[in-house]
Amino acid sequence: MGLPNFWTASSVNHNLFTMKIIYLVLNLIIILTLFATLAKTNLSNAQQVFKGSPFCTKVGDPTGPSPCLSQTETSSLGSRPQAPEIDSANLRQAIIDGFGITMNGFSPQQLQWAWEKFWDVSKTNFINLTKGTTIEAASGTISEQIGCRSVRVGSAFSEPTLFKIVLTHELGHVIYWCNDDLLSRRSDHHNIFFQEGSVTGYGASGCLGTPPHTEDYAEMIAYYLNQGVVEQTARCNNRGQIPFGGGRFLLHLNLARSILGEY
Amino acid sequence: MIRQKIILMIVATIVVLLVLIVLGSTILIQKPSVPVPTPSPTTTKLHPFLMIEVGRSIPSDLTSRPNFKNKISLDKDTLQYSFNSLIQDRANLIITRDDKAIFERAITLEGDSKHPQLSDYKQRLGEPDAELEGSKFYGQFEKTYVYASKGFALVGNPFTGEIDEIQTFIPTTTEGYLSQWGEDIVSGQQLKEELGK
Repeated sequence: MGLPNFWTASSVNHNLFTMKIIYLVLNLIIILTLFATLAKTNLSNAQQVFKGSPFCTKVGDPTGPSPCLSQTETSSLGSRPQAPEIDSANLRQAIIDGFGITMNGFSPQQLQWAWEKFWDVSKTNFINLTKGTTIEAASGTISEQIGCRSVRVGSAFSEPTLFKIVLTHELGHVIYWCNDDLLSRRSDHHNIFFQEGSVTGYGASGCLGTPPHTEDYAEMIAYYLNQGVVEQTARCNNRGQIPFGGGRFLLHLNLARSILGEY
Repeated sequence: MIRQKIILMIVATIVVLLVLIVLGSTILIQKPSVPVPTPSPTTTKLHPFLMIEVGRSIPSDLTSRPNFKNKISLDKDTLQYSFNSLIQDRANLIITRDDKAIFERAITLEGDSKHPQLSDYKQRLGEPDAELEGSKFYGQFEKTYVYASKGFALVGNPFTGEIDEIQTFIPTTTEGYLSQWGEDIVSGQQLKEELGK
């Protein structure tokens, strides 16, 4: 019996076939390895899904304070819609239906102001972060947050600018407490407060016995959404200035923009 | 012919397995890197940012640990070591008496606004001995979940379940915890704001 001849016709065909298979497999391994290395990095850097808002995706630099945009389209950012005309008898229900916020015990005039303000900020993330809140009218000018999405706002406010500031301030507390840190950015705010101080005298003073940084957070939200308004809130060390005027408190301003989007 | 078919089947199987492995690994999102001090082997059970085991002697290299800030004397036998945390005005602390650790506080904020969850601790360690509402530092709704008999407490946002800090101490009662370590707790705090001119 002779030794096997590897170079018979059938053995040549077989060996060539085997070599082709090996070549194919090696190419696939190289391609898949490259894909795994590059794609994993790109995927993890390109997108992060927020727990609280599955449609909310960070854009831009994922390591920076990029705005978490609402579900609205990019082209509508920065626009401030005008509130449509509505019969005063329907205002309360319209606010519930349109914004998910229930307001009990307010006058038609105050409901109108709230309607205007909610429309005004509707292209930001403000409504997403505050929907489900119930706001009760309280006596006088006393306001407070009494639970996660439960707030009292004084019913004695008779001036629209002040009412809108107070409304957005109290709902600012709701944003702070009722949303994950990833959305509320309360930890980032804490460090910014440590660096810049408070945007208003009221937030700096803690004169009502609460940690100043929580008041500053609400003030930051309120004056970001009511730009150009001179500090209105409280008798505690009111500075009498436009909080974000003159390029002041840029870290606060950028953080508010990150939380709420462009106003 | 049969042999060729067998080889083809083997190759196809290898390729499919490789594709599945690669796809599975690409779905994972990279975790952000966070500053993690060298953990004690037992306290890492509670949180990796805890550095020592309460009740034992402190390591001799404590002051050369990352983020060490300062050491102050609280009284004749008691020292407080402070370490920088991710919250600039809330340091991590280790308090010692006669060179034995009696208390540690660690801010549990991780990179990118992430916090451990209260639900995970409850699942692992059961319900707390007490829940105390109100914090001078964090605010009126912040809660301290005291596991006094187990020697630790969690401070967090009760609405989101996010834990802001963890404290470890020699096991005691809830009353004992409050008297020794509860100075930040302000129960019954109610904020009424008189906003306006």
